[in-house]
Amino acid sequence: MKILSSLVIGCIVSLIAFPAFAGVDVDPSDLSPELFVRVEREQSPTSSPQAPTTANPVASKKPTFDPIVSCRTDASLGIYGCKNVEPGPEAEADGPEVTPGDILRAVREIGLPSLRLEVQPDAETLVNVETIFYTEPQPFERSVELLGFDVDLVAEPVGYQWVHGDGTTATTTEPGRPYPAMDVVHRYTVPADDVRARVDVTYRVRFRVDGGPWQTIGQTLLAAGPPTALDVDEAAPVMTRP
Amino acid sequence: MPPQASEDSPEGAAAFVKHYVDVFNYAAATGDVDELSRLSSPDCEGCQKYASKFRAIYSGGDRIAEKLWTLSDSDLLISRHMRVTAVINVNKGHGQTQPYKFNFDLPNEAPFVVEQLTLEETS
Repeated sequence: MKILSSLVIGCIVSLIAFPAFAGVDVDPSDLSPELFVRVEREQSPTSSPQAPTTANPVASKKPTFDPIVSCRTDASLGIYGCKNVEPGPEAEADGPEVTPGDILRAVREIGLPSLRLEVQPDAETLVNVETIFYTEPQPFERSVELLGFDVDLVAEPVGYQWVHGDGTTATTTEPGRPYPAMDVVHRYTVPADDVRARVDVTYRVRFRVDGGPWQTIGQTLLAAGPPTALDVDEAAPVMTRP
Repeated sequence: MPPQASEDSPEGAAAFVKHYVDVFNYAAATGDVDELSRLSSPDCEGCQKYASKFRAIYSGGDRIAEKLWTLSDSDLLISRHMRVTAVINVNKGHGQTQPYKFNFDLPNEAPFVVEQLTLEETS
């Protein structure tokens, strides 16, 4: 009897010390890069599903992405010695003198539109129901003069960060839509008065100098939205006549 | 993030990509994709697909027991438009690895995020 009980205790202890893993070990072959990451074909000068990212869309992609710097990797030290592979084409020197930095500075001075967060149900919502969020993006197009050049600027929203006001956030690429669409929703879990929710918009800026080819700036700009006040109430059950 | 990875230089971009691979492996091993999402642009389709797959695996009670990516010893190449091309040895399961050429498109200036992740076609 004593042996048996110590055996049982031993089993329990081993169960606590080494809890059995109930799930499945995912086979790495199910996570193969082809399933997740787009393969870029070299000869595809015309196929550009997204906004043109090269300075000159007419030129094929290949020369644009010729490596110019080679960096030695050192896994243990993490030190990277980089050296130029080939000198850059001198033609760059007499390219446009307006730099992406100048453009971003100009756009910041003008100010990108902050978007107002719309919430449904309006002003008062309930805990544990899907509260709908959306916003109405505004186009941003300006023509300005910079360093003697005529510069056209376009900023497009590429990301929305929804700040729910309860400490959580969510990120989408779409601005959401009003009810009955349920594109962007959030469930508040605790009742609260005067929750301040807002939406922050990430803009991507494109520009062209003197009517030349459009160029996209890699760095994006963020415009924080004004807070929308919201009460999160608890729903009380109400008896109704059937 | 190692301080070098936010340096506005080719060395900084290279260090950022190395750090990104570490964060990717961490996300795969834990299902905690917060840092991976922070270092990836919302419109980086490949990054987001991986992040949501990892999240789905772990919220379903499953896990990834093996390290997925190992940065190879070969040089990182950086092009004018801040495309960092790196060879990553990808774990294909059953003790097999296969090298893949990944393109990490970064913004022209630090702070870096992965704006787009693509594979280079290997013939």
